[in-house]
Amino acid sequence: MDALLEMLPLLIPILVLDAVLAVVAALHVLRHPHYRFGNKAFWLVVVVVFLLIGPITYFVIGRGEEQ
Amino acid sequence: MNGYAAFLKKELTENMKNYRFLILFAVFLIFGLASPFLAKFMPEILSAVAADMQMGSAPVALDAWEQFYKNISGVGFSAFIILFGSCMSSEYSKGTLVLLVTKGLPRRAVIFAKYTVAAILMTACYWAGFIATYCYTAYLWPGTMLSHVFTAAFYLWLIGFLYLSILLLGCVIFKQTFTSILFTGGIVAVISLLGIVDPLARFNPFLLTSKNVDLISGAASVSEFLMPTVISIAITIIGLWFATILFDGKQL
Amino acid sequence: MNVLTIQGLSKAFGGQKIIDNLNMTVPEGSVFGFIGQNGAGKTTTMKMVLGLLRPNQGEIIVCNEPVHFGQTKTNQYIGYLPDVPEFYDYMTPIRYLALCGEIIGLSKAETYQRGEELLSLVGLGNVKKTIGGFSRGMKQRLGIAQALLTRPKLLICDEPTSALDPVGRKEILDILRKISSTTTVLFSTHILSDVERICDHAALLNQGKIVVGGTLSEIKALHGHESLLLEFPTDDALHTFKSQEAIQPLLDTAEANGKEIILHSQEMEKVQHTVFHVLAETALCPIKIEIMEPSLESLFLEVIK
Repeated sequence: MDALLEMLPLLIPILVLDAVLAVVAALHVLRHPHYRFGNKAFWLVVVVVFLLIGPITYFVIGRGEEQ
Repeated sequence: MNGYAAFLKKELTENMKNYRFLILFAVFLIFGLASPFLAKFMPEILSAVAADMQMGSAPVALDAWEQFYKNISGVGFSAFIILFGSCMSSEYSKGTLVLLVTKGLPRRAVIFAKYTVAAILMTACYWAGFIATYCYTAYLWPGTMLSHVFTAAFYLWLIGFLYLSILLLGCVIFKQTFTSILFTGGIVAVISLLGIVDPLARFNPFLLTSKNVDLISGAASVSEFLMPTVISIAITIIGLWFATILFDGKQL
Repeated sequence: MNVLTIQGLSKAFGGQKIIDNLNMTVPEGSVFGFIGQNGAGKTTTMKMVLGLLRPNQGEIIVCNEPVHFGQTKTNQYIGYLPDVPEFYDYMTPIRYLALCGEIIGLSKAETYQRGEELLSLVGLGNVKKTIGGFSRGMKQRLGIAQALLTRPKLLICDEPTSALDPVGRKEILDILRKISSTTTVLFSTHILSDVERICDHAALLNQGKIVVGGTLSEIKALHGHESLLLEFPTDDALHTFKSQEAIQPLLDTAEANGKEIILHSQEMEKVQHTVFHVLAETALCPIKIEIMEPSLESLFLEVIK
């Protein structure tokens, strides 16, 4: 268990990066209310809940045309 | 030259504005950080979850690099190919290039600028991931000395250029993003399958992504990488050359 | 001098001839209307002029230089506006013009100055939003601005007004008229009133060939015939008029429309003599008599029949 506690600070940079992506994606979802499919609530949940995968999915297939 | 520089600038801005760079940089950095971390703590986590798991030997620094090569060549480059798969199709489908080409933008400047920007971004992402793994490994296994760490990473970096060249070729040929990605995936699969065939394996660029860990552990020598490197660079250049030729005859 | 000369141009797609031995010249300083139905080959012709399509046969000369497929040398003389111009959505108009300026090789200061000038010309002077939020008409106007950035000798517009509402259409036509003092304008359209509004030259494309071409007055004089419109107060009056013997030979080509009748002829004076004679004899009083100028529309319909 000591080792598991020791590793926690090392996790922080990874979590920070995940959080940055989630925030950027969430802001984009809010500011550009046009999606290829799904709606605002759906994409907000996706980008916040699914770390890393959520924001990537949004930017690759969910984002609508630039308005 | 005007056209190349102007289009290069446009491509750089575009990749910032559409979040491609941000996403890829984050992906490479996350996997760079996570690789040593997973190597070190995965056995413990597993044993904590399933108490009767057999513990293998204690993880070493080499395991961290094994994770790095597995993740970057798998997830990292795949993400890169998927995100850049639309680099031509978005221009084709909207017809945005017509105006610029009729203004005197040379067609090959389009291809070279797109490749340059993709290569610059790939380089930045890749080495950021490398530095992350390097630092975490040094911290988690203090005092471990490994040889050829940089050289091994250099070879995988070269493969990045090869993938981008194949991807751009696919993007020029096919109008659809999905088909371009499929084309790239298919070619990469063929290359790796050829890696199994014995007489070819020694020359195959696939070696540059599969023997990196062996190079660090000492199971493989630098000289083995020479021919695959030469061939990889040759295919990269040929792919790019084909892309410019095919693009010259492409209706925009 | 001719800005554009096309000789013996042919183009087929999969065995189907779209352009068949087309000959056309666009004189310098003209506003040239390139008329044709949808699918007549207007866009195909324009793309060949721009070197975007390879002709099967024929020669295209822009400002005394031949056009080659895939080459962009002659394009320095041409500004091109495609039917639906597309830009990079994330850019502002001035940023897009800056990109074009860099490609052409203009200096930064010159690009900026000319860009601002052109944007105010097309009425986008104070627009700060990105192109993604533009309406079709705004994109069309930005399209004109980017086409004029090179100070082209020839501006080619592919159906610049087709997708627009009447207001947007008028704006584009006004802009084209404004720039015609400095640039030769060639634009394709199937809207004949646009041609009548701003063109001095026109050519009509049908089945891959130019069937009518020249100055607008030449075309009308050569091919159109005049018409005389008479409107009567009652159906009876019209009926009486039509039953007169002197009128009979004219009825073959006449069009009746309610209480109106339109008589067509090459010799309008003779027709007028006859008609006025008949009216005097029968004491019929039409409520309207009008000599109708040949319209491009009637000409167009006649030619493609």
